[in-house]
Amino acid sequence: MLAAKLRILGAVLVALVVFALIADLPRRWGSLAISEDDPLARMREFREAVLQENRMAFLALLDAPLRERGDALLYGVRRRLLQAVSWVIVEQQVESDTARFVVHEQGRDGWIYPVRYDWVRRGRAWHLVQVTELPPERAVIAPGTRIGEEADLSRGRENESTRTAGGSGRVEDQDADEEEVP
Amino acid sequence: MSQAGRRWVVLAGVVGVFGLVFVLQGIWQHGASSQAPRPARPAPSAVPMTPTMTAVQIELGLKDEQPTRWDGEVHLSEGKLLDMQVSFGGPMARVDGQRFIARSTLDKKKKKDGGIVRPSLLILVDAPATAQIQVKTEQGAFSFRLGDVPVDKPMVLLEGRVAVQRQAGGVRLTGRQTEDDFPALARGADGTVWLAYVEYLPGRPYVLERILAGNFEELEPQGNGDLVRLAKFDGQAWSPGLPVSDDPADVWRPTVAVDGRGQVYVAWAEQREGNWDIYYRVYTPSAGTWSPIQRLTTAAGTDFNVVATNDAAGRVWLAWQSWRQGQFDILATVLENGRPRSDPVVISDSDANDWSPSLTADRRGRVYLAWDTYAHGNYDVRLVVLDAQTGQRLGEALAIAATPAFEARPHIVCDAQDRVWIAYEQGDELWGKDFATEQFKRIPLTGNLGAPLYRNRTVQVKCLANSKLHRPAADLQGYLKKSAVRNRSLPQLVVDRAGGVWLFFRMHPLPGGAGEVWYSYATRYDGQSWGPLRRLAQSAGLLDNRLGLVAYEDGVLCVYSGDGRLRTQNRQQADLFAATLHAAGPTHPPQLVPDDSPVNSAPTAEYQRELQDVRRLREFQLQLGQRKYALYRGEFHRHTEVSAHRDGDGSLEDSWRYALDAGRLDWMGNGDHDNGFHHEYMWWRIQKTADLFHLPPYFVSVHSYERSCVYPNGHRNVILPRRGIRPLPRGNLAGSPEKGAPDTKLLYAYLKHFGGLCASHTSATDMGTDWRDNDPWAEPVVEIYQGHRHNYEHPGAPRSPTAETQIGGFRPAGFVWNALEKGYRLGFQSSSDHVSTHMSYGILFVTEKSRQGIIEAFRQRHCYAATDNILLVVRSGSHLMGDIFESAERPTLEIHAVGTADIAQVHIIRNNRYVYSAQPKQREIRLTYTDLQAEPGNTYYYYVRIEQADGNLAWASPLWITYRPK
Repeated sequence: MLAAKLRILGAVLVALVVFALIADLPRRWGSLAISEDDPLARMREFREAVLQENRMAFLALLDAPLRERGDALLYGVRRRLLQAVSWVIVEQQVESDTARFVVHEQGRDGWIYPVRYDWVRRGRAWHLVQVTELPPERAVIAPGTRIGEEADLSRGRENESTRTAGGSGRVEDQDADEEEVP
Repeated sequence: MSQAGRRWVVLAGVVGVFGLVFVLQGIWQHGASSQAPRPARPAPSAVPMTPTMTAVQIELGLKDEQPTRWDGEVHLSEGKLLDMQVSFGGPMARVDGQRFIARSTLDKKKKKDGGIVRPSLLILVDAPATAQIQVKTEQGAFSFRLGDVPVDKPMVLLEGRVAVQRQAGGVRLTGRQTEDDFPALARGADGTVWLAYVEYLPGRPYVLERILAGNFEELEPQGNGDLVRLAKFDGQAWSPGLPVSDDPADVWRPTVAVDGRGQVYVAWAEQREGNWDIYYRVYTPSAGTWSPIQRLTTAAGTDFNVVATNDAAGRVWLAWQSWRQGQFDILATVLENGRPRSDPVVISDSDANDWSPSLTADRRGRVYLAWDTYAHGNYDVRLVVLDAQTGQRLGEALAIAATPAFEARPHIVCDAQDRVWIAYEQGDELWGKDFATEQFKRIPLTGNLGAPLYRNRTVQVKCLANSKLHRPAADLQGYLKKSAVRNRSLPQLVVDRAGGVWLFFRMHPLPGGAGEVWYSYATRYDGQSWGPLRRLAQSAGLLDNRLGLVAYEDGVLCVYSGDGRLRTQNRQQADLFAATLHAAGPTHPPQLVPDDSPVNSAPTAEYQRELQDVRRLREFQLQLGQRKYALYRGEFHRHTEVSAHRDGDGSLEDSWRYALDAGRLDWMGNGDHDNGFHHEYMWWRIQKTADLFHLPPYFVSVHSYERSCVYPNGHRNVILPRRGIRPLPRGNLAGSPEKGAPDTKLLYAYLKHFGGLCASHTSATDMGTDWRDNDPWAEPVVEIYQGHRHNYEHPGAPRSPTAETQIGGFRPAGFVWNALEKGYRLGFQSSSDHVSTHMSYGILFVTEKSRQGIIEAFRQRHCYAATDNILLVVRSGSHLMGDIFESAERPTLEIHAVGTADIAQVHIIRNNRYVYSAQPKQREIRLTYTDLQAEPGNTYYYYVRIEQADGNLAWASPLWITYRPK
């Protein structure tokens, strides 16, 4: 009797584990089933695969020729992204079978690293065919900059309220320092 | 019970009785204030008026170098002293019969003349020209013969220490319990003069302490309102005004005309159930009977600014300004036997706004109608002849003034030779276009591209004779430059029986324009020359203050309103005054020269570009989930004549002209201080004009005002959801950075009571705040940039002030970043403040083009600030700028911007630090930003700033995103 119960419990546990794995699959594999028609979503999956060092998901996004040097690509992109503070798609051209994105990877070092990603559609799925690093450019303002910290905040901290109830308050630019025109 | 116990019972009983009395008193007081009967409208009385009434202005102490007593008394050799007023006479100043107390005083703030403020007397006498007036003062006596006192320049007496000058008028026609305004005059064939005007009955005054205790409902006056009245002048006295309209009503500027049978037509605009229409009523003097009130217009949209004349056949013509299908047109109709002969006819033919009709008729049966139009992207004056039978226009409109300058508000009259005289206002080119301040280098800007609403303004006169335009041969502008040195506005004309052409206008009396005070002035063209210039006594009031005028005897009879102000803050109530003006010399046939003014008004390329930019914003739609958003561009910091301070903001009407035409705004709110420094009638008039221009969905006016508490509490601009709520008086302003200010908390409570909101402006100036207070519901947004001054985003941001470049003080604790850092959730908007135009907008994402839609958009912080018509959309999935939400994904922003020039830089700021700054160098950008540094569980605020190559800027409201990955 007990053995039977344990068997049922074991089966339930196995089912739960299988269900959990299936449920987690999209995350681990980059939501392939949902987004394969959307190159923009594939770009996001690419980024997350790199950041999470999800090699399987990463390789699944690459077109066959590129997949051959997938590990080197993953290493290179990941090295750059790990020192980036933001990832900005600044240009996107999506045609029926091709797509191109230019991404600004804003580095902590104050440089913007533009990278071009070219995709092609194979059947229903989009695959990355080329990653091209463009010449970096220095950001107008380095990331993390907080401008104006030197301002002397103490100048405004005194309490100057002197008016009491019913007063009309002072308004700017008022005076009566004039005589009438003769 | 013990003795002690009994004592306690007695004590408790006494306390209980007192408590009961206190409670009952409170209930009674509440009932008395909230259910008080309507204040009684006082009955007007008859006022005698003789031709020998004259006013004399007496300036005292012209050589005073220290405070001096000028107390004294006035005596007349013949006639009588009717009235006397003291101005600038010091704190003890008063009048008691013929005696007065008036002293020159020392004002330490005054920089000129050693700080001496000199008193002046205004005396009104009923006396012949031979009367000798003697004034005895503590500094000596002086006298003068009334007929010797000039009207155009002061006569100096008492060794240069005193100056006297005659003024025209002003017999007070109305009582002090009401505000009397908007006079219009017409003269019947029998010589009787009819006066139509509006009498405003104020509500019961509120008790300040009760408001400060939170009884905000008492800020909604009950029983107040307008009444149109009709009075007549028979040459001896003014009759008490008869009631014409319903009482109380909400009316705008009546007009009056007398038909060939002597029937008196009074027409006016009145708001009923949210629609302004033209109403009229006919009075038969012989029977003393009135027709029922007739409604002339019924279509949705404002009909107002109605004017009247009677033609040679005795018929009464009406013309007015009418909002139809998204624009103002000029309509006209003829009334016969008390009824319109046909449906009103649209006279103007532009696809732009047409304004300010003026009617006149000649003796040959022709009727003339003039107006101004924004058809070419600036105001031009046009005139047509109307067919007396059909009411239709005959032929094309004649261009009376058609240059790129501001040419508006025509007033026309016919003379006995059937010439048409036309007066109009002339102002700057590029009126209402980009203007910041004369201190533009401090912002820094390279210059002002346009002109503000009231910088250079004069009046022009032309004459249409034999179908050709002429000008008076005597140079009017040359004359005015010598005699009337400031801006002149609101011209009105009368031709007297001798053929002299009287020109009336409004002008500020002080060289620097301090305070909100304007007077009416008159000059006369005798056919060869202009002059002398006369000031109408008691005509102090707002800039837009139009007179009732008719030719009378050998001169002009005028009725006008005045409120005794030196500025809005110290105004009294508006009353009507009457004056007769007589020619100073002989009259000659008018010498005219051909008008050679260019006709070169045409839409500029820049104007066409602007139309495209505005169209892009108006056509933009955004669907997020079930909600569809439209962009709605406007502002709520527009000052006017009510709080112009230095005569730079122009009239209330011009503020709405700007909104509809030069600014092409979708919404706007007035920003006058406390709706006219808490004066009920100023509030009534501001809110009335806001309703006149409430034209949804094309244009929405909001009821708003500026509430000015100095640093560190801060000025705040207030929007209220509906009409009828008065500004909140000041509470206790003392507070601390930690606990805030009781007054500001009172403001938040008031806004919650009424459903309004507020926004701090110029937060890092002396008008700003150290952010000691914020209520996210009542104060959801901040005016991050204002056109008149700076960007208050953070020190070092574009157009932000420094201690050296500040305008209005430098209080760095007030920068917006400090508020954000304190955790305040503030959206961004931009508005103008004084003078500035066309370079500061609050652009809203509205789901409904209405007053409530505007408030809801602000409440959600669904708005951005911009200095030009820049399209800027920042969202995150289904969330829009201003939203506060959690996200399982890395915080991501989708940014779409279309500039009015190339976008030079785009910045993304996270928690007051720049995290991405790029140089797109293109007109349109679409970016998708993802934050790679966001830590799970943390909340970040992100906002976007756009910088164009031409220097224009836009700031999107922040999004507050809490990153919670699954």
